[in-house]
Amino acid sequence: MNSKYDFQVVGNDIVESEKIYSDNITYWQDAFRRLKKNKAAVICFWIIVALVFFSILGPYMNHYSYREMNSAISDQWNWSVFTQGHWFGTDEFGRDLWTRVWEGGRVSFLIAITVVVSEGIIGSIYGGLAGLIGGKTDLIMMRIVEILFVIPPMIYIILLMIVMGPGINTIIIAMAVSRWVPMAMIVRGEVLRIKEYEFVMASRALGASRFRILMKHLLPNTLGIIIVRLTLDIPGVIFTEAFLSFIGIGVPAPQCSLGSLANTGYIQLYSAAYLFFIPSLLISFVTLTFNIIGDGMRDALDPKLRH
Amino acid sequence: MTKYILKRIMYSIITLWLIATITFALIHCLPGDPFASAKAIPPAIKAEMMAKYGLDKPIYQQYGIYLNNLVHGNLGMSMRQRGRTVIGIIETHFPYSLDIGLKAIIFGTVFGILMGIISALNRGRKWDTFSLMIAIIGVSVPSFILAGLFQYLVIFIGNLTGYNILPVAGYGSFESTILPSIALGLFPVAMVTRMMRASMIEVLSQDYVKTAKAKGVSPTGIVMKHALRNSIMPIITYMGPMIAAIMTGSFVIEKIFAIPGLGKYFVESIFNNDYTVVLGVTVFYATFLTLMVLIVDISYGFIDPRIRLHAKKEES
Repeated sequence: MNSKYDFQVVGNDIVESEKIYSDNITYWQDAFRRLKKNKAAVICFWIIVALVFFSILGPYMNHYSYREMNSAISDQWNWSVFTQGHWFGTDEFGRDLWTRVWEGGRVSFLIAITVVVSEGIIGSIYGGLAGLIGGKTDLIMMRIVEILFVIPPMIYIILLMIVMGPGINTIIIAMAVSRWVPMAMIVRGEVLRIKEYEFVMASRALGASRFRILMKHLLPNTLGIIIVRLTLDIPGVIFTEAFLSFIGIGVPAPQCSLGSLANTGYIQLYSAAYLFFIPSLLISFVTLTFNIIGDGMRDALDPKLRH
Repeated sequence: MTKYILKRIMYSIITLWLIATITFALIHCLPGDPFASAKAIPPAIKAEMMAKYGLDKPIYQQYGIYLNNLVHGNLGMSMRQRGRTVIGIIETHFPYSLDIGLKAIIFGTVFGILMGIISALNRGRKWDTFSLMIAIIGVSVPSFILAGLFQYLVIFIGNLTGYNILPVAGYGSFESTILPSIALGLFPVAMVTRMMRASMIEVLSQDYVKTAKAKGVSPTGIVMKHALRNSIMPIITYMGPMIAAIMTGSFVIEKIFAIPGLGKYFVESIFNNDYTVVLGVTVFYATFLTLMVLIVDISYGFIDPRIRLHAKKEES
């Protein structure tokens, strides 16, 4: 009953009646509170935590390694393998699918996070500088970005993959190179908007350098939008990686990713459909949960959507 | 308006030149030389072959010849398939991709717009939840997984009833293009639905819609006459990325459904290290997409009076 948010009679004391009783909350606390109200996003967050947990520890949960073949099983395969400790069954070489799925999940998560972080860094530095310096520099930098924006990313990802040869590092570089462009455009727009605010002017009047203004005022204030954008980009990266692995230029064997598992599973769709459906379900699940979290974060962080 | 169009065309030309140059640079970054895979060749013959393909010239001359060839539509010969030119390969295989792609685009826009309208009109009700669910699934499930699922379901039902509803692979009749087009078009459906819903909700709260309602225009009339034309704008901007998504998606879909399109061919030439085909098709795809984006941009200028007025203001 007597919570501090309830109305209470304070009498005629002017000082007492003007006093603010509730705690100040920062932008991030407020956003976090909003996010917590979104049930779907909270559930998805815990699903992601569980998936990350399994991709780190899953391969060690049974005593098979992801590259260990078993010709006895692959020669005479039958449904009894599921009872021999192969919880998801075995693939065409008798390798344990449970271990391979989580190993693949780990590769996919690793690629997604590295790509997203590097695209965030490149994009915000480029966009931030263009917006901050302005004038001719901004014009030239934005013309470059506009031209790059038109080139379909998948085409030069494929070209880069062919030139650099398959491998996890190549995938990360190729995707980071192609994905920072929209990020730079968003950050520049935000920086241009915030640059005109009074607190930036005050900081400039106090003699802060451009770099300090960028790091202290502009980037922290665009961080919300950057984070939302990056969360919504994770499904895209996992998509692209799965796509590349599916057409066969992604992660080289015996390493695996969720996409390459779906690819090898697809070949046996009619004889052992679980080889295709288990990795596919996991890909869809990961992208679905990230999409829902991203939408939730956008609703919580984007001031334009607030009412 | 003329200035706007000219500006867009100039950008597209710069983009194409950039793509051609990147492609050229990448060819020269490839390890080895084109004749390295053949058996040991005597140096004299190798020198002659280098001379025949112009590879003995300095690199800036090669670049000039390459650009000249590109402008004249000459993309070179396939390295693995003797006697086939890259442009010939594109001519034979691209129509299949175009057919599937067009059907996917039509499916994507028509269904997306319909579902977007329905969910905006029934906001928060059963139909809204339903189409939002379809939308989130469409964004989250990659097309190749959908394709595999469709094939599996059709065969499963076929085995159960002894009757195949739809062909699961190959290219021929109209029926055989249904599954690939749906698998390819579900992502655009999802994107268009979300965009259409958001913009429709915004438009429906505008004053002129209220005026129309007050005048006694029927709900269908409001949607068709007042709301649809204004809320469809974002969908037109999305057309460029949508064409790109469908085109790259077709690499996998054509492989899965055994359609002899350019996408499947492209993936195969990646595997066979058929560099000239890969690069030629890349340049072709890039040109096609750049043209599409250009057309979308220009038509957007014609459709949306705000852009037209803005361009006019810049001119004066």
